[in-house]
Amino acid sequence: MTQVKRSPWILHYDGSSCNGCDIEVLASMTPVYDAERLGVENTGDPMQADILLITGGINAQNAPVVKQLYDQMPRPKVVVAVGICACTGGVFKDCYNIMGGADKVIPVDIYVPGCAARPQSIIDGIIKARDLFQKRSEEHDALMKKQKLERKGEKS
Amino acid sequence: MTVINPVQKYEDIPLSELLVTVMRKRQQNLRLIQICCAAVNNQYEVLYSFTDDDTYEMTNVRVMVGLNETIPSICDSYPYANYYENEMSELFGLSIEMIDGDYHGRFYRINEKEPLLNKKAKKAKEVEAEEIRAAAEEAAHMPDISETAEGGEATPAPADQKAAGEQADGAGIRIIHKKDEKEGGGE
Amino acid sequence: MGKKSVIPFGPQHPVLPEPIHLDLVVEDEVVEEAIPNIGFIHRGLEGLVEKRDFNEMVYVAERTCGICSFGHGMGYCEAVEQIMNVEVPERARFLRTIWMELARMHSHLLWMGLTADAFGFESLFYECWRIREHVLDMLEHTTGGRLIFSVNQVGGVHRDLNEDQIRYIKDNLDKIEEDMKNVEKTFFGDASVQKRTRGIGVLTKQEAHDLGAAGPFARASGLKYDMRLTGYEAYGKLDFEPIISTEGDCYARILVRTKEIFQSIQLVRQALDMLPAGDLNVPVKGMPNGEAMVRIEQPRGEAIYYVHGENTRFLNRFRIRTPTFANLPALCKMLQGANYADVGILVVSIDPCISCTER
Repeated sequence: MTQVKRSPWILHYDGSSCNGCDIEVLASMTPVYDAERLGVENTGDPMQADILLITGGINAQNAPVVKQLYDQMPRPKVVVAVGICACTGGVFKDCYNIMGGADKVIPVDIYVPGCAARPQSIIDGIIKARDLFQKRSEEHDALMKKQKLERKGEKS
Repeated sequence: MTVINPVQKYEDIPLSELLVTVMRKRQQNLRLIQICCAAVNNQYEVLYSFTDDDTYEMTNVRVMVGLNETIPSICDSYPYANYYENEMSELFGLSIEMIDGDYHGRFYRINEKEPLLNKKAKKAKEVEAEEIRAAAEEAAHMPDISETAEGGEATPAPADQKAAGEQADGAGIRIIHKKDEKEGGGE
Repeated sequence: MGKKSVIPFGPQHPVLPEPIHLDLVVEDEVVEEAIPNIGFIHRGLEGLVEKRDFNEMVYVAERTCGICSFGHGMGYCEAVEQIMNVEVPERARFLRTIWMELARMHSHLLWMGLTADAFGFESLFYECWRIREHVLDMLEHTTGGRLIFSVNQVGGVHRDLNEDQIRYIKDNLDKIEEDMKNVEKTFFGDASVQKRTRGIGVLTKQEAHDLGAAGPFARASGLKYDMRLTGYEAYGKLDFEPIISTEGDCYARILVRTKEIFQSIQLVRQALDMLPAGDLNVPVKGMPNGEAMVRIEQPRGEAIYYVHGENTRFLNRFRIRTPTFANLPALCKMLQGANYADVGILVVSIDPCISCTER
């Protein structure tokens, strides 16, 4: 694990999941598995979240909702697809209403397989997401600094 | 603990007796527990299940409906039947009229039309719809439009009888209208 | 007289674990009408009967819902066994009962945690879920899975319990019973819980009957209706009475579900003492030809499984009527006249399992 500078917050959304992976995501936050010791917290507000945990496949009704949630999150952000249904569509791949995994509508960075995904794998996914978030956050800082210097250079 | 051994009964009724049967079940204070639709032998089989809360006895009322027929809603007797009926009409294409709280096919808002109806039944439904449309057009070319058009959209079994009766009526009407045509021609 | 406005509730909301959309017509912070708009979790798995044969459909039926998963698999297997006239051995029946009651315990503990979270009592939420981990340890020890077990098959089960596992279950049950007594004291004695739940969302006995409510939601309003009394699987040999309350508010629902956890502990102990020796499953030959309708008691209420086969490998129709589908009209009635701040608790108090409802 790299050195941690900021505590990213998690937004969890269930798009057509059977609820198994959602319960395991919530179970990862509770006392026995406790992902909160990594500094993450489960928030309900997309505008304050940095990591999006998405479960379940994408169907006709929730495609615009997922896209809107992704757009509402400020940059830098990381998307984690939890469970096999969010990765590829899972058991329900042949159903008439399922379009596929979460990467049909939003760009996914980390895939956590499993049916239902175990809390240990979910925490592993959150750690990788947090490291990726650190990297993107530092790139974002460097970009802001560069743009500030350029603007100062233009003025003078 | 005393074990209750529930009885399960199946009743087959024609579509015309549906509302009366449901009203009788309501009078006996039975609870509606589900409405299920399936495509069997190119017909819709609609199963209404009622249960008695004291004896746990379950009564299943089965109605066979043609693929292009319309059935009435039972929301007058059981107001919460509308969710079941909305779901059936969206997923199977079964046409139900007078639902209390009709979502008009947008209950689940899916993209595919009638997804649970299998291909064989879908084809049979289209073929039957074509036949009905063709019969209605043919009837429309006959002099009196309104009566014969209604007869054209009737259900398969009684349609034969009605068609036979219709021809007799049509013959009668034709005679009258031939007089009108003559009069019209005269004018 | 204030102005009426329509406030959308869901699909993404901090208090909801699953997406459901309600359009609330609100006037001066009092809800007048609630119009549900569902369909976000509709996968259409009943259409998979054309692509998976009747043995593989067990896995699809189990994944209808992650919390009520064992009940769905068991109900489907029972319906197919009834069509094919298969006699499941006694030991398999008792094992199915034991796993069903353990699943009921974990589901009720989950609900209690979510209710506590809905009115802001987060530490009670964590305590309930910590106790729930003991139940999941038992399930993982005996079946290999925490939420989705896959031990059911048409004709019986394919895992067994040996002496060590039975002792492990009994020790864990004692631990859970002690922890539950502490949680019970908080739920029934704490002043903040009482203020947020007493008198909120009252549903009378007549209304519950007229709207077709099922499960602990109906039992909290006084309707004595529990499908386990019909004696399917091994319930005919166990001794218990359904738990009823007459007040019909949110507090009564918490009371009924908490007492049902204690009742489930007793039922598992009884079943373990009576566990007979024997086979785990019987071989099944042929194809299902006919129809069957089976009713079982899921943690959320009465679930109905209808299976229709026409002597082919692929079934013609498989339908699940889940308890939350029956409780939705009662929810809409309950929300009329409620405070806007209580909508979250009321929606959670019917124990909504939207993935079951929309399949």
